[in-house]
Amino acid sequence: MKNDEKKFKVLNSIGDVKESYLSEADPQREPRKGRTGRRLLAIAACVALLLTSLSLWLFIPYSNDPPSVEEYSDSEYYPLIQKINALTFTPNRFRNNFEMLRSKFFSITSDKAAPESSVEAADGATGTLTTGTYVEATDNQVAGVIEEDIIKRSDRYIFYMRGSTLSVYTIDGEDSKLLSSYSITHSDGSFSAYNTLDFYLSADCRTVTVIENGYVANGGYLSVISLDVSDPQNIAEKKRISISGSKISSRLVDGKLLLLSGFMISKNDLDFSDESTFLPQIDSGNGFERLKPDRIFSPDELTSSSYTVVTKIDEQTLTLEDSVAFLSYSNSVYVSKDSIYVTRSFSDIKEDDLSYETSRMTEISRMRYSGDKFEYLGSVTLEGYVKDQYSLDEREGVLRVVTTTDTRKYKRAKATYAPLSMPENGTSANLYCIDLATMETVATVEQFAPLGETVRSVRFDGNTAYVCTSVELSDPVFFFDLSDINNITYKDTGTIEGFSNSLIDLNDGYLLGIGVGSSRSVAKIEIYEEGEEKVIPLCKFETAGYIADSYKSYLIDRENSLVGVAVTDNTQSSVEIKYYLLHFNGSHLTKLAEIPLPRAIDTRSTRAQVIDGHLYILTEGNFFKVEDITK
Amino acid sequence: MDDKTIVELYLDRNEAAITETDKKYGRYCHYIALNILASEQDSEECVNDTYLAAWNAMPPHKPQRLSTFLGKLTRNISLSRYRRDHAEKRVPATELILEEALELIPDGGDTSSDSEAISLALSDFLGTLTKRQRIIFLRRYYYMCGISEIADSLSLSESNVKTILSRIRKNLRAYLEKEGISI
Repeated sequence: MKNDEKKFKVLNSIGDVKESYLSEADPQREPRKGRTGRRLLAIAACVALLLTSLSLWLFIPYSNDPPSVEEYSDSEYYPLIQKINALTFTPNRFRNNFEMLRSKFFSITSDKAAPESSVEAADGATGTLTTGTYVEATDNQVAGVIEEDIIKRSDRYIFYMRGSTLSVYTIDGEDSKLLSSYSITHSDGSFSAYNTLDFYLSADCRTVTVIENGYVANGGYLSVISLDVSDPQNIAEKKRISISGSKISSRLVDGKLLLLSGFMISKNDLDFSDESTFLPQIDSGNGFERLKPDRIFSPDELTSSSYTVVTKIDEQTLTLEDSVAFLSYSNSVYVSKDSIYVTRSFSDIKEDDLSYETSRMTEISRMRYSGDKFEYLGSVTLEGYVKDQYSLDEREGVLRVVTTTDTRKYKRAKATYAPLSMPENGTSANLYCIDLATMETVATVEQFAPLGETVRSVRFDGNTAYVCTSVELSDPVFFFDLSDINNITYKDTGTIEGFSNSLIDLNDGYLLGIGVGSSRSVAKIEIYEEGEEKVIPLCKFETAGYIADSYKSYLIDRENSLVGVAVTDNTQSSVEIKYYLLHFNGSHLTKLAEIPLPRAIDTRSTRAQVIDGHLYILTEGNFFKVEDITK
Repeated sequence: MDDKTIVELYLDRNEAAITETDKKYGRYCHYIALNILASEQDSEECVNDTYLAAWNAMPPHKPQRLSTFLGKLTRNISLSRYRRDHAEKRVPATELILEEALELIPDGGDTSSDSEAISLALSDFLGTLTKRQRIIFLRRYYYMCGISEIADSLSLSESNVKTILSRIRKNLRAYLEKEGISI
């Protein structure tokens, strides 16, 4: 079981301990009589002495208006300050101090702002050995837009990250071996990395750029670290920079690192006289500076007190070239060849005296990065929420988006909500086409999924969109023809067993689905093709167990029609994990290799490469295996 | 209104049950959700989902302690939501608690023990603690309270609370390993 699942299992199990213990620890529980008696005596004594003035203080009603920020009216950030002030102000739940004191046990902690970042630079040694020619190891969504990963390679070496340790392996068939390892550390010890670090390998294979995302006790902190790997046996740190906030995503395009990070405004620390408490800080080498007002974009009505900060950094020098910020928390991010699309999910609420309706909505903002500076190009709001980056695709001036729609209606009784089961409640799916010149929707296919289903996976390939939706263990897979957006047509498989967490376009119009079979303990890999009237499941491979929903852990080799996945089989008395390599020959899926992996690994960290007829597999626990698949 | 009467409203399918639940436990449920999600909007939605879940559960369920029942529902709904969204939306305070929870997981074991066995073992272990230790542990890992809030409510220093929690985690892990419990 993955560590994430274990953590939640532990917390869930704590929820099932003896109820008397839970009740005993209840923060709203009254203290014991003995202690209460002494406190009441003290309070009674104070009340007796201060009765009149205390009564006045207890019952003076609270104001329900946000505090005035007029003193900052001269600030160039005044419009932003007003918006943040309105957003972060919480009208009091109590009418006066008397009600507040009665509920004194419900003090709630808030998040803190990120700590100040520090810039450290280290001169690293440069080697003279060549590290080979760059080979793309990650199946990037958009050609030329490189995605971060825990594996990268050249034609000579494989670079693989375990936790915060970078390992370098030679590529030499069954004689391949570990060449070196390098651990990334923080000098002041105030930072801990919670997950395996993603990184990039430069086009000349001499530099590895690591993105370190972690948490200290009061917030997020992001470092970009440049390593000299020109001599893989003597890796050295060249430079590092730090940014306040936590990582959302990143891409590398033509030697420029596009970093998206989140910076949260802490209500507890908010002080409009101190800009570091409400503005993201960027250090471009001359100390920390705040972003200018024209580099901060925000909707008219804020729904989040978190920024998404987009930063462009030169890969080689780690020089910060430009930054912009959206005052909204970003969910998924899609990056095309010249633009970044940042999505923000929120709920649209309609209410009156009789009913309350909430619908999930998504705002998509477009930022061009291909020029010297970022250029904001507008936003569009759609119904529903996107699953991930694959739910968006830009092609020939049109943005295509697939969302899961989710509307719920409640019958309202005065100020509270009575649940009401209504037939129109439920989820479905929409497909949108947005004209990027105007950022307006020009075509929509609404509610194409059966009611109650959610989008499991999406893939765009040219003028075709593939969508898998499901409710539990059955799905249709849809093929959309987007060649004429004024007349979008689609076919589907009808209800079939299982669902796909990932859809991958193969050559020749075939679609690969990786996910779940007839039950959650059956892993399924299936190929689909488009028929005259419907989408046809062509062939499949099933085995006991499950495949982690982690796209980058899959081996996708379109050129050789290969797919590789790690499958965890927990249906037996002991857990077994195996790596399967399959080949699609146009009509069937054939198993080429079945390799046992160590137990208790996180299969999301598994990576594999097929190089010159050999399968290279790397996982946690220093596992590295090379298998000749031509035999 | 007392809990018995509120539960009877649920059993009678009287929608006043929701109104009364919200009056008495609305803030309590919101508090639990907010501790996990750190978002007013998400917490409101989870509290609404709690009422729906309570409405669907009663009948046939008839909880002995309504506050504990509602608290568990809210907690489970909020954790599920956090788990669903947390790849994109991390709350530092909640992430810290999750990382601390990792320290409770015993080494070894190919097969995970079933949830009932784990909960029984946890209950037995909690029975060996003093009342104060138990309260600190559950406020942190059940009610998902911050360290400063726990310290403030029990008139302890924050470092004292951290030390107590660290010891309990270590002892619990050893206890689970001794009992052959794996997660």
